Amino acid sequence: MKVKFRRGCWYDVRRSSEVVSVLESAADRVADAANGLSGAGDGGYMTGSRQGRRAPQGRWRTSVVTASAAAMVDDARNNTLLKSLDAGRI
Amino acid sequence: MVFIHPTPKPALKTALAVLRVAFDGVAPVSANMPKRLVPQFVVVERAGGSRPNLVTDAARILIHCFALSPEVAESMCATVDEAMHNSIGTVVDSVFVRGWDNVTGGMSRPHPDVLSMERWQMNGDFMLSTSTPGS
Repeated sequence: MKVKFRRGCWYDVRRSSEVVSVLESAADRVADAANGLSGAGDGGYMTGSRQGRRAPQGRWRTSVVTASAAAMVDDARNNTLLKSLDAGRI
Repeated sequence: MVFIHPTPKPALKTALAVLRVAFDGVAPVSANMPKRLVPQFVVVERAGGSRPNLVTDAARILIHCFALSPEVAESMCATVDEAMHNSIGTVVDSVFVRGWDNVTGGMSRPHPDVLSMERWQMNGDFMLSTSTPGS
């Protein structure tokens, strides 16, 4: 028996709703934790979600960023994002 | 059979002990910012962590190296990395150190409240045994 992969299908698996939902949920948990820890209190930690380039792999990626000046200062002062990462464990 | 979950060892205290030896006579090492700034100092804190298995606590340790110049701050980060790596396999204050892994930095990251000094940071997983050596 010979297994032949259709490489384009991997791209579709990586953008499937199940995969995206797991990753977005992890990012949401990190952002929620960061906003909870933050002294800024303005919801300044926000998430992003997008698929990487098809070449080489097209992996879906989510991110949590400082989206306000207050959040940037808060993260520089308290390392809030680093301390929130544990909330994203799957 | 009674199963007892072992209590994790104090990771921050252990990291402080390792780094105080490394910076002895060079820079104070503390878990808090000093009240009066000195030309070089190190601040250590725990930024979370996990329990990858029953016998290991992986504490995320964050180290801030403050100095007047980036060159000195970078060399302080090198000292940190050396000390943490060299602690692997040793017993520090009755805590067995399994590893220093997943290290990020050193990198420059100015502190918004201490702009007169350079701050370099590094962090890593400080893997400590949850059992007591010799028991």
